[in-house]
Amino acid sequence: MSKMSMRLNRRQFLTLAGAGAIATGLAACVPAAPAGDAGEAAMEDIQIQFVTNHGDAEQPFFQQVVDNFTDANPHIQVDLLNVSAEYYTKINTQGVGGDLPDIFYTRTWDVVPYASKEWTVNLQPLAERDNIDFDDFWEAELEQIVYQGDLYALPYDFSNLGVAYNIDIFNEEGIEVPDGSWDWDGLRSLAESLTIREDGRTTRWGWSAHPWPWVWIGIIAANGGALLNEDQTECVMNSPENIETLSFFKSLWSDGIIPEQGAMPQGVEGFSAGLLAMTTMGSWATQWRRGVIGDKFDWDVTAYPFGSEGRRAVSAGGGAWGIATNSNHIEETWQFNVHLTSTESTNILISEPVRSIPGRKSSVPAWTEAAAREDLPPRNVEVFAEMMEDAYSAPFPAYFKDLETIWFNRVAPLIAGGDPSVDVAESLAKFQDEVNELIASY
Amino acid sequence: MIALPKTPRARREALEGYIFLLPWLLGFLLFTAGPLLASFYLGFTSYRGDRSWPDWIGFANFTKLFQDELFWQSLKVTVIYAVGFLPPGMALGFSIALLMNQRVKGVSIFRTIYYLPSVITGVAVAVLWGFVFHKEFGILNSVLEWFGVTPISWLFNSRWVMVAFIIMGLWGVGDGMIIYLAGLQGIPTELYEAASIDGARRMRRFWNVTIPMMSPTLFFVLVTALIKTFQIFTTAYIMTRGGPNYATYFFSVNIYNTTFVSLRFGYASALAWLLFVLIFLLTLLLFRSAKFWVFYAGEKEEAA
Repeated sequence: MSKMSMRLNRRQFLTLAGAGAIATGLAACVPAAPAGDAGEAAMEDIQIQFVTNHGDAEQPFFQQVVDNFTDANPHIQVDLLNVSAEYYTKINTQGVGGDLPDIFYTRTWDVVPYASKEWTVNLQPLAERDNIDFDDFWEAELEQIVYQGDLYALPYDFSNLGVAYNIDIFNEEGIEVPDGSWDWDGLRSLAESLTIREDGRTTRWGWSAHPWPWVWIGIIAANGGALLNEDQTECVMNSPENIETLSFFKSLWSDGIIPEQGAMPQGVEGFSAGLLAMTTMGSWATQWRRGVIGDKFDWDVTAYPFGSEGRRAVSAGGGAWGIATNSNHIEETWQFNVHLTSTESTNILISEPVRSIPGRKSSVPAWTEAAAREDLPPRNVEVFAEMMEDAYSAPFPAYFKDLETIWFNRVAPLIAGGDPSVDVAESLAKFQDEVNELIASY
Repeated sequence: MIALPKTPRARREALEGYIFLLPWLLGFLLFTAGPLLASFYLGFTSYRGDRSWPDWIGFANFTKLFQDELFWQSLKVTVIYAVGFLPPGMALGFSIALLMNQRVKGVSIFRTIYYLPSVITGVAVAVLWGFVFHKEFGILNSVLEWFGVTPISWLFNSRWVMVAFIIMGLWGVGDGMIIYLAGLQGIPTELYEAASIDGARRMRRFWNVTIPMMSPTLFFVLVTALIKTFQIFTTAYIMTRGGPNYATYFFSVNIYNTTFVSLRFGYASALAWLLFVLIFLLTLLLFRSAKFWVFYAGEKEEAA
């Protein structure tokens, strides 16, 4: 072989390899092929992928729901996969690659971003065709799973937050347990009286807060403030009301009533370890808290405090099920989604194990009944459903994930502590400017 | 132009070489070259992960970069880290290597101990240092308390978090130490003997024999450490997520967030390529500077 022909071959090879590599790399960007006509293949054996993001304890409940469906529809095989680690990174990667599972779990604030990228199917026509009872869903949740007026997911559960308290600590201190009629000042004074400092070190804190932005949208609204304007085109965080609210919460950690981030021992959950007398508790954490606390102490949950506006406006967000536009079996997947979110399945998945708030109002009686039957803490679990009456409700904007990054850098240190030099007004001003820049870029 | 091996035996040997190379080459072409080229293309688009073909926007991403405060912030903290870590890191690594080069009993055990941090993965390092930097229960604050220092919230205070990252980086200097050690052991002893005969004392031998003979090794460590420093990601992602107040929002964290949180693939690709260009230019600068301070024994001999 001559040198010339060798060089030519190598060049050709590189050209081909380069073209192949580009084709491989860009294949991910190619729009997905339209879904096949499911009607034609109605009775053919088909397989659908069902991906959840839950704990191992919940796996048997999901399997039971899947089995109920496949018993009634033997030609449809549902492959259940529970992904716990890096779930959203995986979903994002699969979404970009046009390779999403047929049906998958989505938090309500991810519904709009996914729908806007055409990753999920518009379910409105299917829901109208099959007379889905929208009135049985929580209005606040429906608002979060609708994009441009159309439904893009079916609800699984809905969550809000209450305050869990250690009854044993209250009894030891001779203090009456909270009944939920308190305001934030009431929580502060109670938390202060439950905080213990020994030899210059805090050995027990009165309360702890979550720094997540969706939790705070409600708290600031209850105190007369807002994160965004009504049509979500502008951030209005740097307001006197919000400065007052965040200054109040900053004082909680600067006065040592709640632990600053990094103050709790590494790998220890403060409330179950008895280091916190009270803590913020999500409605979804009932089973998990029961597991970690066991019979170490008695505990219960009560409602969030009222804000200065005379309402709790507790934030609510939830889980739902979306169907991928790249699915080749949209009709069958829709049938499964309807089954998955039926009252019967919701009872199996949420009401019976007493986790979170069922996505269907019709499942609430079974949920409260199961809670009472078990006679396990938190006995006052129905408080989560009661708080839904004045829950704060607003759709999450498509830029919410980016807003979270700015929140964790600018606002979270005001809530969670760690840096005594943070200034509330300065931080909120920066947050507002950066979010407004973000909105302008969308 | 590559010269072909002339004899059949040499050709066979070359073929065998290529066969050994093939798994890497195939892996590179299939899994690295593709995304590499795709990201280059995407850098000129406004692609956000949706189902339409990416829109070509020319250099808009690159011009937008310079007005993006987060870009400047991420560049700033990365440079601060590089400046804060590289010089003490190299000096410390070299100093430890000099100690480890002594003929003392049990030196191989010390060498292993100092090299050990380099074989621990990033996530484990992050968890371990989480314990060390803990405000209430961390060993660092406990030691500082003996000197009357108030406990510092190392990872959540924007004034201290970079210091914490530099300390964490210095813990891993064993990586460079092992290379320095190899370099030190490659210095011919007759050079030291000759210098001693000429009356050179210990420091003189260090500056006039050790340092020039070690300059290629120092150069190698500097280049590789610089590249690694600019790519710092795992510890920041695990421990601080870039915070607080963007104090550890390193360039790679910015690229990750732009890609996997914002799903702005076009802009993230532009960021990634800019990082490549920056590292490339800095490396080039170092190579250009090498002729002034790096001494290659072979070259001198040839020139003489």
